[in-house]
Amino acid sequence: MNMSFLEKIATVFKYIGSSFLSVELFVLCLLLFLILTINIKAKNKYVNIIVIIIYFVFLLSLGISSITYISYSFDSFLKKVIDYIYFPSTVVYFFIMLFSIFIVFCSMFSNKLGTFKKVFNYAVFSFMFFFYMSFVVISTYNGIDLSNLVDLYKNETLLSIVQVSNLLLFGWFLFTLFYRLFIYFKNKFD
Amino acid sequence: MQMQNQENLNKKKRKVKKSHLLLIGSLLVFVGVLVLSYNHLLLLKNQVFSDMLISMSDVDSTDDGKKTEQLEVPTVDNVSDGTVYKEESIDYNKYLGVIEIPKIGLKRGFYNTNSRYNNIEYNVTLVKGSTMPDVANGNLILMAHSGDAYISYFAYLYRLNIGDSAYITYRGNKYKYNIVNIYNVDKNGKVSIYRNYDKTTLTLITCTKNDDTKQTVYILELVS
Repeated sequence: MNMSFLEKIATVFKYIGSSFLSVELFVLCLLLFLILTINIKAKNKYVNIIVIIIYFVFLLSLGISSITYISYSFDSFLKKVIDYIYFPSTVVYFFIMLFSIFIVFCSMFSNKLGTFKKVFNYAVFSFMFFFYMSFVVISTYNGIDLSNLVDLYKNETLLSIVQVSNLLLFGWFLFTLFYRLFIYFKNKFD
Repeated sequence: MQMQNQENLNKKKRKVKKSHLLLIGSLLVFVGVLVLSYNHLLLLKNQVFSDMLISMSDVDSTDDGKKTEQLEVPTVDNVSDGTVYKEESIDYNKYLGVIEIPKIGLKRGFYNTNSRYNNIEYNVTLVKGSTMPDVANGNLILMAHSGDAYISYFAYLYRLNIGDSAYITYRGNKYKYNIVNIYNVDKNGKVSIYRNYDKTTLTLITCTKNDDTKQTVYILELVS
């Protein structure tokens, strides 16, 4: 457990040389890396397609052999996302607020964003800001410990504020995603 | 020259339409994926809510001096089948056992009858008087809500048929049961259980789908 970084590197190299399979895997990955690197200059489309197929076959075989593990991984990830949307910890909520402020700054100084998108961003993040400030005010006024999630979310006003704010952010993500997609299609096919 | 300008104008119009079409297509794909995965996402959301609800029920004291939160015990489903059950004295910190029904993707733990979490409003509930799978010719009775609430763990039981399997994991052993009988009873506060007393049985009880006046009873017998 308490290995130094060099010891960990040494352990990894020991593993690589420990069996035929590990050497095979290492050589395969090295080959893929070399092929992709050489193909930057060669610019052969078929090489890219073949490499994509190799990675796809790898993922497919992983999926077939460990479907329970992959399914469990996806479920755990989705549960975490749902948990962050509906019952975020105050740490997560704080970073969500930082992210909102960052987006507002980006919108302010961006030349590429259209007026409509800027106004939309300002509107969404003004509401987010209001919700977050309300969250802090209510929890302070009621003497609620911000580190205790259970006490925090027993207050229905706080729970509603947090969930509406996160759902608003989620809506913003979706809108921005499709907006960017539309801009991409417009530039590519116009 | 004029024809060329007209052609360029037509080309621009067509290209704009293509980007709109692609956007609509992407939206439809997204909505399609959402619709297909809706049930699964709802299931995960229900689990998250259920876990938070359980955490919230673990209260020691409140501002007005109350000690322990009292949990409501459901009064609707009173079970009576005339069997004399052997009393178990079991002490577990978390799950007493786990029920698993692969056909409907159900896997949920249940608590000891003495546990505060053994409540139909929170979990799959172990009915008082049940015996564990290791008791020969006994009957393990579990109940849960159906419907579409976040506590509806037996929501998809209606998809089960005679011959489908369920598993109970208890004390490190996994017991396999097969459904032998499914029947409805009126929802009047009592549930009659018709079973073979020479077999070790698992009974699952939930509200009948699309019928507020009845409950469905699933009788399963131990296979291995």
